Amino acid sequence: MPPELAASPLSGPDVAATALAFVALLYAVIWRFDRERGMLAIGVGMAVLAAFYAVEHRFVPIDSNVHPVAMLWTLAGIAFWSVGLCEFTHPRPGQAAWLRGAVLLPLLLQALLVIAGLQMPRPWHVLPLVCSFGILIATLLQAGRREPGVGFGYVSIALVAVPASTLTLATLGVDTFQLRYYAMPAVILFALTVLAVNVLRRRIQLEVEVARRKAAESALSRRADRLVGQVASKSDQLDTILALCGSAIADFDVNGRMRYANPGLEALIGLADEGALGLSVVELERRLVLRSSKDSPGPGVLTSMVGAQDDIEQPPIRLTLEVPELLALDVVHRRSADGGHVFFLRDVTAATQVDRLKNEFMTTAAHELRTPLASVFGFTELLLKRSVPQQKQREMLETVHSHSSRLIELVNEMVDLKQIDSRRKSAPRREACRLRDVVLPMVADERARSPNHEFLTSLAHGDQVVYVDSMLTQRALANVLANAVRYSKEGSRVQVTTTMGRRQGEAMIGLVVADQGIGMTPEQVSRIFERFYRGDSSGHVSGNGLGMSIVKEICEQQGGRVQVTSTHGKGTVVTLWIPSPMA
Amino acid sequence: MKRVLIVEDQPDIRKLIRMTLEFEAYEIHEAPDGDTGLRMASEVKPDLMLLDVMMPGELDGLDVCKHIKTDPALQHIKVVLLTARGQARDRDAGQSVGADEYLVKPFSPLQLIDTIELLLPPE
Repeated sequence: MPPELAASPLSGPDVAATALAFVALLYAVIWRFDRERGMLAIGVGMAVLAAFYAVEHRFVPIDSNVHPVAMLWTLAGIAFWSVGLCEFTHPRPGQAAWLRGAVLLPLLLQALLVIAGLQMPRPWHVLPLVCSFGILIATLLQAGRREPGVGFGYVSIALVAVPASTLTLATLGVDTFQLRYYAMPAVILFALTVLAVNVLRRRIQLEVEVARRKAAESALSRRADRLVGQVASKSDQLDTILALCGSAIADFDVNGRMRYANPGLEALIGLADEGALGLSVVELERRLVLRSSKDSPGPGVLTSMVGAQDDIEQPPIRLTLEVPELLALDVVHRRSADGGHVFFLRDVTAATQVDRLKNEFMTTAAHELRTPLASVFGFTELLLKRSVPQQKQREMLETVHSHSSRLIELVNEMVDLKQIDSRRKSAPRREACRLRDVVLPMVADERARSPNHEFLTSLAHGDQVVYVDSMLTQRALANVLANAVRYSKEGSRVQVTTTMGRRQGEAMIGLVVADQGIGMTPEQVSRIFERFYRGDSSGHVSGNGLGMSIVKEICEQQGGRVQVTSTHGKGTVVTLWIPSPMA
Repeated sequence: MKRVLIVEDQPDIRKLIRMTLEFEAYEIHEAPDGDTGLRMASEVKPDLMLLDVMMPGELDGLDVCKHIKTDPALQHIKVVLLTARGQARDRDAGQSVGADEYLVKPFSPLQLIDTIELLLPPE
């Protein structure tokens, strides 16, 4: 049976100390401690306290006084004990180990005292009191170190408020014994409120967080949709551009499988319907080689480009395809940033053809120039370095002169061809002219140049208006008239007439020049429009072989044609067909 | 007197060569194409032939030269090829058929005379 204690009157120091301890406890637990664990600690403490009081009432009659200080001490002790236990089991980082131990020690002592049923105060309870105060001060100091203002703030509250409230209570004559019946529920209520508020706060925080995340997600989703739309439209744009591109493009991924082929490539290798995706480099190569001409690079052409070093600029490789048609392609290879390969096959057919024609023309022209030059150079050297008899001098000089004229003519005709070519690129300058205004001046010129030939003109459609480039048409006519004179004997007749006809489904007017000259064999007729082809290469007849090719160019440029018929030994008829403006 | 056969289709070049050779003492014969040239070579048996390479007809200068040089009766005839083509491979073609000399048009008549004199040294 625990000894009964007479309720001693409240002493100031007792009250102050106890209140201080109580406030410090509250501060330490609620503000410094983790809130939830603090609440848990207080709850546990309350439960233990309630259990203790239940036990106490078994031993102590209900109307006996228990010293309030004892009660408060017990309360504080139990709470501190719970806190200490929590701290010990779940220490916060940075907390000194000795502090944890120090918290536990007096509390253990206190627990023992409570279990033994001894009530406070007793002289030997000074030790726990001092230890607890020590811990309290240490805690406050620690708090003060981290948040100086907070620590001192609470201390000052405790030092001022607690004595004031206790004195007030004492003045009011409140039976402090009864206080414990109000204090316990109040503290419990207080703890529960703080707990509830915390829980609510957490929940609100959670909901706010969820709403924020949802908003962020939907914003992200809208942005993603927009980006997808942009990518799709960009991809469409690229597809359109690449489809218009005349060249063939093949894009392979890092594993050598085709991941993009433009329509040009698909048409080239005959896969326009199924598409070429997934094709390997080797398969593409095989298809190209199947279609290549014999002198085109064989298998391995594409794989060799893939295997080549990246930093060396590879020159394009020329492929010549025969299927579906004669094509010259320049193949260029690039490695893309993600390890894939791109092959670009550029159609250079026109360029190579033009090159080839130009080379052929230059070679032939150079060759044609050498022969007259050989005479000019040779004869002049003989004249300079040897003493040549008068008669022979004259002969040599005449040859030099005539060959020089031929050279001039040749150069003029080459310039003409160039001009005609360049005029072809710009729009032909057509104007309305009467046919007789085009024809008659040229006949008059040729008549003046060749007085020994007979010229007959009979222009039935002379008043017809045609839309032609008059300068070019007159040039063509002059060439035809010159040929008529050149290839016929003096005294023979050259007849110029007009006629109507249909060529290629169109109504046309024909300018007809007929001569009575040496005529041409069918072979000669077939080659008459070749550049530099001359009907008589024996040298008796002047001319360079460019005249009729110029006539052909001019006629075709104006939408017409030139027609040649001839009987070997009898004469030739050349007709220049011009589109008739009358439908 | 040494006999020279000119085989050239362009009459003015033939005239130039003939007039050039007339300054020296050569018996001059002319042919206007490869066939005639080859025929005249067996008939006339010249000491030297001047062959234009580009001639119309069945045989061009290179063909005639090959025939001459592979015919035991005509092998001794010196052959000078005349042509407008002066690239290395044309000269090689000439060499491969056994030509003794190769002149590019336009050539200097005096150079032609020097060439002939080198090939036909006076006895």
